[in-house]
Amino acid sequence: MDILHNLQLGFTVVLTPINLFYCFIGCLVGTLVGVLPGIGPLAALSILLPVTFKIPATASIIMLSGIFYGAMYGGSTTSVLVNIPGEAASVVTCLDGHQMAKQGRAGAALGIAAMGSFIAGTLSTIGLNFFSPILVVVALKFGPPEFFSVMTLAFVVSIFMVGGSMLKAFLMIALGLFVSTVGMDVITGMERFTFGSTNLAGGFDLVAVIMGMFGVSEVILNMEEVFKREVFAKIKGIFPTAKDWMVSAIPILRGSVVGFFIGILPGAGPVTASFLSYAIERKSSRHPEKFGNGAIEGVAGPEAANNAAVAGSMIPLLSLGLPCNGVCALMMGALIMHGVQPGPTLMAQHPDIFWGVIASLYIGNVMLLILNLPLIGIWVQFLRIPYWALFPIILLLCVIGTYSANLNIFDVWVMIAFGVLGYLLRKRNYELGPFILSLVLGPLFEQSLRQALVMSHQNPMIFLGRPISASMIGISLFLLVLIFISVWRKGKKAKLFEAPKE
Amino acid sequence: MNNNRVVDQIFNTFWILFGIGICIQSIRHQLWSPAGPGSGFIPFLTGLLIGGMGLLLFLSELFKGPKKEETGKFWENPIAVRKVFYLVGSLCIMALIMLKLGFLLTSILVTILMIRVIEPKKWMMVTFTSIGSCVLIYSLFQFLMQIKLPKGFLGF
Repeated sequence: MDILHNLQLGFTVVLTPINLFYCFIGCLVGTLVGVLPGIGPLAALSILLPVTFKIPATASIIMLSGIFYGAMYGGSTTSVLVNIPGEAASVVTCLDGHQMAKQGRAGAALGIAAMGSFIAGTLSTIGLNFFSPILVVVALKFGPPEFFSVMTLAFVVSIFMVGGSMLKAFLMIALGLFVSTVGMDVITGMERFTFGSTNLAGGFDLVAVIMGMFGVSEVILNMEEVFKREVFAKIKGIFPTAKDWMVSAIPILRGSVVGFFIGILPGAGPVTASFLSYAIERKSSRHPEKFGNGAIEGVAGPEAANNAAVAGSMIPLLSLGLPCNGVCALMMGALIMHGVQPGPTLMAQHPDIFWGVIASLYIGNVMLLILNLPLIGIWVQFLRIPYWALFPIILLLCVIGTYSANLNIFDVWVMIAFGVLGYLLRKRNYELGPFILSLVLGPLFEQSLRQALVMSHQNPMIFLGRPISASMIGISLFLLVLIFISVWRKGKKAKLFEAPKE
Repeated sequence: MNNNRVVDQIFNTFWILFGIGICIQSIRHQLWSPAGPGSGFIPFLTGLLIGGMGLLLFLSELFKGPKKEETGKFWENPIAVRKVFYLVGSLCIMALIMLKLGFLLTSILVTILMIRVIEPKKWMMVTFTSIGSCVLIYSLFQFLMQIKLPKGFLGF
């Protein structure tokens, strides 16, 4: 009953004109970002982060979450109609969605994607509703050793979840941690790796690094490819038939569950969820040969999963103050800039934000269903914008987003440098997810380690002497051993050492 | 030089040297103090990991047989290389002149430059698109969202 009462508070917060407006703006921008290839939710969030300085914290986080799940909705449009994923989580939707469009069933594909997303989004928000308060109760018992152990587990899981070389993922974790240490050490006041630069005294700006790594590097990578866009503009019958529903109902439910739990895992998120859901649907299908040739389950499952993962990934952010992915990291950054610390105390200190965000997910899902089904024709028109007209705008938005955070041109140079670095790393199959995770968690990771060792008079056994911490460390070690044993036993040295195929 | 495996080995060598550099610098920042880990402790560990992983990647690459994907070229298309350099160059120019010329003028000039050089289109179309999109973005951020953008000697 307490949850229902709190949810009522959330709806009271979100149903104010200002919050509804920003929820709508978030959904609108998110859908646009999802529809347009070449700009993902992370870059869009970075660009709009400075805008949030001017608006209240609750409205900011509501808008940013709207962008996140709006992009998941919009991404399917481009995948189905153009065969180019609007954002990474919609890659698998291309496989069957575009085939359906070729067979004259673009409307059904878009319809089931939107409705599947709506169902999954709503179901996973209900999950978020019930899981978050439980996790908050556990998290209130956390001290520095527990936070250190949870973050260690987050790093190991993110390595475990990568599709490519785990050595490279290890390296990315270390690189992110290193970048996070640049600047003044908050404990001793000593400047580290600044080489006398006053610009670096506060460390690298998170927005500049993320904008470079994701926004700029994405544009540079796209420069190398020539998009041949063949848009299926004629869309008939956006409402799936009864037969479509019969086939898609179970994949949508399965996708919702898979997506929700994958979303909670650090380093995973909507992309992993959609791939996993596709694999499960294909494996459990009586007609696996239909997959890749226009199977509606291949659209319904992954689209449900990537939306469910959004709500799932909000659980560690809101309850523990631990962002699972880059988008959540930026949301955390936005809250901190407003003087709000996400974590176990958020629910008690700022119930309006905590429950307002959860309630906004329900409202946002309804808004997105309306935006994505009847207005599909408008989004199709956006697909006609040529990339040569789009990329300078994306870059200008990146420059504005980076510069306006601190009004410092040095940050623009940082963005360019990390843009080039991100481009080179992505070319050689280094995954950037683990980098961003450790970059964001780095300061808290270091602080927790040092505080824990001070608490224990430098006795590292403190991490094993407390049950929650010990179990986290145990799971981390187990996963590490599992990674190496499974790779070596199966003789899959390739998995450990080699880069994945493009 | 343009081979993916060579590029990988350059990367791996860089990681090894970078890791060593971090470790050396970290020692100067004090690894351990009477109160516990010093300022250099975590950077030292990251240096060890970066260098160690770089070494493992280097060795694995060294003892691996040739494969099709690895012998491909880092930059398959010479035009793509040119585009990448022009794009990064344009961004650098923007960062260099933005404070002097102001955001609006700089963005129009750089956008024209980027489109003309990277995706050659007719002058009229490029100019019209650039001015239109830059003025729109400028108005949106400067006036509607009230975000401070650099003003040059012309005052905008």
